[in-house]
Amino acid sequence: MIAQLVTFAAGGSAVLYTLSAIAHLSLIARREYALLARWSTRIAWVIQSVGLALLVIEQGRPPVYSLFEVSHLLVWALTTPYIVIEFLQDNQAAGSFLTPVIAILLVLSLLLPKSGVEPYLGDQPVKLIVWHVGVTLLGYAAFIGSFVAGALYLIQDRNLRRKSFGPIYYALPSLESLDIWAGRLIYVGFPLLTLGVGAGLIFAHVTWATIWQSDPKVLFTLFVWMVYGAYLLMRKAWGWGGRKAAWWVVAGGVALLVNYFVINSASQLHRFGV
Amino acid sequence: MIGLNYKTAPVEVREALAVPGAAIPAALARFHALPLAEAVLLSTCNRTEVYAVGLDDADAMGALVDYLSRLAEQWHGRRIKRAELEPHLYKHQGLSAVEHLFRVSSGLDSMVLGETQILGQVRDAYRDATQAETVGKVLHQLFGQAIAVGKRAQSETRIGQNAVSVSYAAVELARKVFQSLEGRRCLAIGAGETAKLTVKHLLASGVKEFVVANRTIERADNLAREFGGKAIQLHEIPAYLREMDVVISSTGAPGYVVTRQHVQEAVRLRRGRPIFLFDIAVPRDLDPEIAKIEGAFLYDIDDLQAVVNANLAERVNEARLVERIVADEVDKFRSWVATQEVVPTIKMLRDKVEAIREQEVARAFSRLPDLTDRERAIVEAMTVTLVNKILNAPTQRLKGMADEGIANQAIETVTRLFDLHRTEVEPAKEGGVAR
Repeated sequence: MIAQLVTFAAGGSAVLYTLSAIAHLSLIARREYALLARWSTRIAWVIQSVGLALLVIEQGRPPVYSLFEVSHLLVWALTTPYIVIEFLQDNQAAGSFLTPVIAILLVLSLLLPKSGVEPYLGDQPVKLIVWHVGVTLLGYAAFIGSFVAGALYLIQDRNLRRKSFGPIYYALPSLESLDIWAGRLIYVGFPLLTLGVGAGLIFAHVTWATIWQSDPKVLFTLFVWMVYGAYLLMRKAWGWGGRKAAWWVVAGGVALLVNYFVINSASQLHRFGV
Repeated sequence: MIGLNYKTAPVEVREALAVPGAAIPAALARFHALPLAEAVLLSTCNRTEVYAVGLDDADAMGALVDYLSRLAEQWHGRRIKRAELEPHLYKHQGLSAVEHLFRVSSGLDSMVLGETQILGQVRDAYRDATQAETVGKVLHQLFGQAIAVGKRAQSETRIGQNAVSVSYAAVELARKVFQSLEGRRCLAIGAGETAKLTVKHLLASGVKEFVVANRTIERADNLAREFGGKAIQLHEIPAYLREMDVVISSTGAPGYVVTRQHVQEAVRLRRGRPIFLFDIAVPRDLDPEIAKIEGAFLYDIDDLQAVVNANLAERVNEARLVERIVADEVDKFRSWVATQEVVPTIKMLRDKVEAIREQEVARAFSRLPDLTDRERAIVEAMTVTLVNKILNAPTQRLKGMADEGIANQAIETVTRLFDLHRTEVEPAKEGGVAR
């Protein structure tokens, strides 16, 4: 019964987020569907939150054991701050670019393996896994935000250079603020990723008495970590910014998503105990 | 309403009818002599219009045309005969006049579509007329709503949002690169008029430092002094370039004043922080190759004109939304007018019931002399609530029926049901009503 409700909530929120994404995209050109955009997002968020809560009740454990569950958490971690900011500032502009990403993530997650099985790990500290997944996920949310900001930077840069002043040009903020936001979000995401990976390594150490498992996901995550670390270093050291930095952020985001959706299935450790 | 604007009248006629600000009270005072109940005079450089109540007959219209032609005589010493004026005038009555005013106040009727100055002018016209006591209930409602329409157009649509002049377009473009212009540095090469205007806009948006470079240092000095900047010579530009965020060039020089190498070096030293360059000179001052540098944004005069054109197109688009707001507000006004018919009836009904209430409360209190003040207050409040609750529905329905256009029938029914013509009510026999 609850399992059905969870599926229903996931599907319902996916449909609503898709609607919200379409409405938000239309806002770039016309303001007609502002209310629809706002409320479809809010209602989708409520349904999704209920779905997540039901999932936790049903399984009696945190939803961190399948890509489906984790994707839902990730979407939730992305929408919650957006909804709060949108409410406080009464500004839907960011939504036009964020909600499509959310909708795509959620629809993709529906195609992924659903129910996670809690792996049998003996007396191991399960809490560490929850920390590992949860904190890493928050980092992912921040990085996806920076990915969106970086991509928008490139779009706006192109608009300004080609002198094409369409609706997107009007809707987007200044290059400088996009650059600043991409940087800020990486400043937030990087320590979270570091902590999350740290928790994973400690877990590995406690469980398998080694911190180094030559697992593709571990390796690739290290790569992603270095990409963002290098960005922060260059930014801190020489005030790096602008178009190349935006390309860097976008590349980092792509690597992150590849890691999340593709590398994950090649990993033995991170297969969520199918 | 009656009036003329830039579409119907050439400038010779418009200027003759433009009433200078100081003369408005005198012009308004003359409305008192006309057979009008209420009137507002709206006079700007692009239009002169009179909005009046009581224009139903041709005589009043004719009187207004005379009034307008006398304005020309009085303030500009020009005699414009009625027959000469007549072809330039447009006249609207009833709701079409309402619609016209709303279109004016929202900028739809302006020469530059969506400009906001007109809203201030409508507000001033209304204020002046209120002071001259030529405004009554109808025009209060009408102008209050007209100002609201203008505000709605600005806040709910993008009609007035984007620049429609080259110098302002430059500032707006800079805003799409920099988060804010607060504290930025700007360099003007050449001291021409457009450069001056752009610098003015830039300074108004918070640009901190301003340097002007010119072939003749005297002219640079003049401009620098006027805006509180610093004057340099043309050959000093490369040294200053790295510190500049916005560059405006408008010299008459035949060749390029700033080359790609100059900007390349500046951008390198700026570590990717963008630099914005406007070339409003013909022939161009800035090497077009500069546009290829990452971190440099170069716009020439044609680009700026294209921005202006795009913004105008955007305004035309938004105008459709404004039309909807106008239609919406016209309907509100219509419904307000309709409900005005039943207002006296509602008042009579309320007065009658209120008189009954007071009388009965007094009667009850005289029978219950032992009540404390608190108990009296409660009983009194209860009767007030009772009356309000009972009358609420009939009041709303009366307005609703008036809105549907059956005010007469509604008034007739209510008058008969409540016997409203016998307004005299027995006076309360005893005093002592707790209040």
